[in-house]
Amino acid sequence: MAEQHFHREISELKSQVAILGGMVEGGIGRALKALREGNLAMAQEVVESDKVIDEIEVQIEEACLKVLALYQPVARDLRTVITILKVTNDLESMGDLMESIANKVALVDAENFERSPMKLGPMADKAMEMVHKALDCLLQENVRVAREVHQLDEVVDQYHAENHKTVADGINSRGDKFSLAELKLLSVSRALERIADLATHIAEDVIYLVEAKIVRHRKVI
Amino acid sequence: MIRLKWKLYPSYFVITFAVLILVGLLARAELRAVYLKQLRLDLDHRCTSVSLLLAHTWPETGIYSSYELKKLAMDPTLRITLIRADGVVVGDTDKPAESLKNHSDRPEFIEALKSGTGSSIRDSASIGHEMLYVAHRTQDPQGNPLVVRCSMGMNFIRAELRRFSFTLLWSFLAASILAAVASWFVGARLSRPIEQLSMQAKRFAEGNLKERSHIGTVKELEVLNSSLNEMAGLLEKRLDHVIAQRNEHEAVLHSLAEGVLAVNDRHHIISINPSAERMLHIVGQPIGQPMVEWIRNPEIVEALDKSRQIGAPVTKEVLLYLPEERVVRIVAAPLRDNGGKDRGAVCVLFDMTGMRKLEQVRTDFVANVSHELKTPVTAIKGFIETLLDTPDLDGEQMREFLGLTNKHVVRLQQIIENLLFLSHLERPDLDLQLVSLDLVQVAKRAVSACESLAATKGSKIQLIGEGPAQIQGNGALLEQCLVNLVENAIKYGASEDTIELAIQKSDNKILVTVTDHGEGIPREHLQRIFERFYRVDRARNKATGGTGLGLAIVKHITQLHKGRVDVSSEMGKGSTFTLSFPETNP
Repeated sequence: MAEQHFHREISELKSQVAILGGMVEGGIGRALKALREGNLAMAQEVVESDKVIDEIEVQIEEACLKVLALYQPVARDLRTVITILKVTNDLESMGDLMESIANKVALVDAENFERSPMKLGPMADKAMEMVHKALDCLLQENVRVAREVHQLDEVVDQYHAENHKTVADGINSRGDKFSLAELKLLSVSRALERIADLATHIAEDVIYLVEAKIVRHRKVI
Repeated sequence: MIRLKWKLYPSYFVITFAVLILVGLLARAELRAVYLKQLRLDLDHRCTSVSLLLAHTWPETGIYSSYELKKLAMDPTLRITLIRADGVVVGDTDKPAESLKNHSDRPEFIEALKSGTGSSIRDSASIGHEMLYVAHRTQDPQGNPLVVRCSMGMNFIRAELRRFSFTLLWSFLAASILAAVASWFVGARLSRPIEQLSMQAKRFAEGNLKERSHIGTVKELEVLNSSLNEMAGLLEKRLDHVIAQRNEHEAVLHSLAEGVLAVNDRHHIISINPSAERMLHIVGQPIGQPMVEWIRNPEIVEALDKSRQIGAPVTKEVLLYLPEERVVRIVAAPLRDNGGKDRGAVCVLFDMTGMRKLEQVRTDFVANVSHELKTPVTAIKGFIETLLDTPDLDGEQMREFLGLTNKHVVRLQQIIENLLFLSHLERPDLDLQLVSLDLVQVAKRAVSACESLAATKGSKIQLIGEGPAQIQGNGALLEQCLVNLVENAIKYGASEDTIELAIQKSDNKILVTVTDHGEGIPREHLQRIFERFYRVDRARNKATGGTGLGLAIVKHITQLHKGRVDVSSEMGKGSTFTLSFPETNP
């Protein structure tokens, strides 16, 4: 009986995480679209949605604590609850980064984004793919996809490093003509890199959930 | 559950038991009767023979001693008693006559006195076990009536009967074993066809409806079997029908360009077609899984919820970001069964990306064409008004104005000519007059046509070609196509640039690439620059001139030659346009 209740609670928690993930995933997409198009209204919408994300995070956390206190789960059940707790935290951080990207829209217009020599477009695509796959592997408990996410992280890191170099070169060659917008875009690159890191965390948590191995801080997992 | 074989055994056992008990009891009674009759007859004879012997051995005293009587008896198990008519015992084989009481109350004695013979069975008071007594009336030598009584123990009869009982028991055991064997065989014979039938039913249940069984032993079972076969036939037909129908439905769903997604009342996915999987970027087996875990777009989930709540379709346009940005219109409708019970919801997804793009192209086209036409017309109007309003212009000034007007008229004419050229290219009955020609030669002509323009920017055109590159084509059109590309490269390239026009072969294809080292084209515009009047940067058309139709013409000419055009560009490094044509063997 208690077991049944527990599993119902767990699947309810997973659904909530899926909804939270969907909001974060869509929010990041919209923030990037707003940035590409200089769409301030859409950016504002994204900033607003972060508040809802924060609320849902608190709800999930409370629900997790309730489950822990009520059922005192062990083994895989315990890992599931712990993973949900950690992933929720990561998703909330992603929400903050999404908000920070949306906030840049007011300072960077579409022209700046278009003309930037930084490879933000492909980088954003990769980061989005990672978020999508991280959520997929979490909800389907698929370790193979989790490993794919881990591999993609390096690609995004590479892009970020290149973007850094591009900006440094730009400052050197153009001096005072270097625009503020360019620097803002660099922080978008930074946000994307952080989002990719968080997606990797989620993937690592999934590996922990399924295989009970902690694989963080490892090169090869 | 007990198998049929063993179900028969208890009844067999009971019957065997009952028959043996009955027969045993009857036989035992009969046996006892036979023994008794035999014994009585024997004692009768003994009495008679003792009576005959009495006359010769009658003692003086009138009382026999036991010893003397035993001599007469010649058998130690036989007891002889001589009793006078008054009941006084005058001789006995087992005890001295004096010690015995008066026997006048013995039934065999009374009977013998009365009718000559008598007999009785009872426990002997003097000996202690069951005895058969037979008495005869006779006379002693003096002529007085005398009763001779012979008796014998019946122990041996009881022993015989017990032996018989044991024999009966053994035969009962043997019979019950025999009954078991018999019931096993009969049961097996009966149950084999039933087992066959049940195996057949099992096969049907497993879905193997093709096989038919035959049972010819029992009529009732054969009837059952044939109705079973009949049922399987019907079932098979109906199942085939249902499967065919389902396959048809699936094929229809499968080939729909629109995505279809259905969820049950617990929000688990019950059906999804490949188009929906593609649009929603789903990889895996989502059937039977919670929807939110696979489709995380909150708007789709919300629309499905809402349609179930209000019981009516909900239409919504949502943005999806993977694998690329898509505009998807969703129509969610509640699923109801015949009784109107909530069964979930179904959602149809229309990919509106292409249509939105087309709409955009159309609005942009109208805006652009008006803009392009309006600019020269406004200028011409201005110049003419100036000329009309100032009649005292000197010849020099008038020439200048007319020159400027002419320039805009020429531009207007160019635009109109290009538009006409494009619509000419678009005519379905266009006769291309294709001939086999060498693209390298065409490229050479195009390069020389562009040389003067290149000189104005100090650029050079480098032709890298491995001739001959034979294709079926129209030389004039292809030259126009290359000229447009090279002119664009000069205009948008860096000053003093080196434009590379390269022709190479790969995989039965001829690739023509035009590369400049200019500013590059932002990624968002790459797909749209082949649209008519589409400009990456509206501010630039005046500086570079051009009609805004050059690349549209390039695309059309390439497509008329069964080729395709691609562009790649990197910001700050330049752009490369690639035309690929199918090669024809000379």
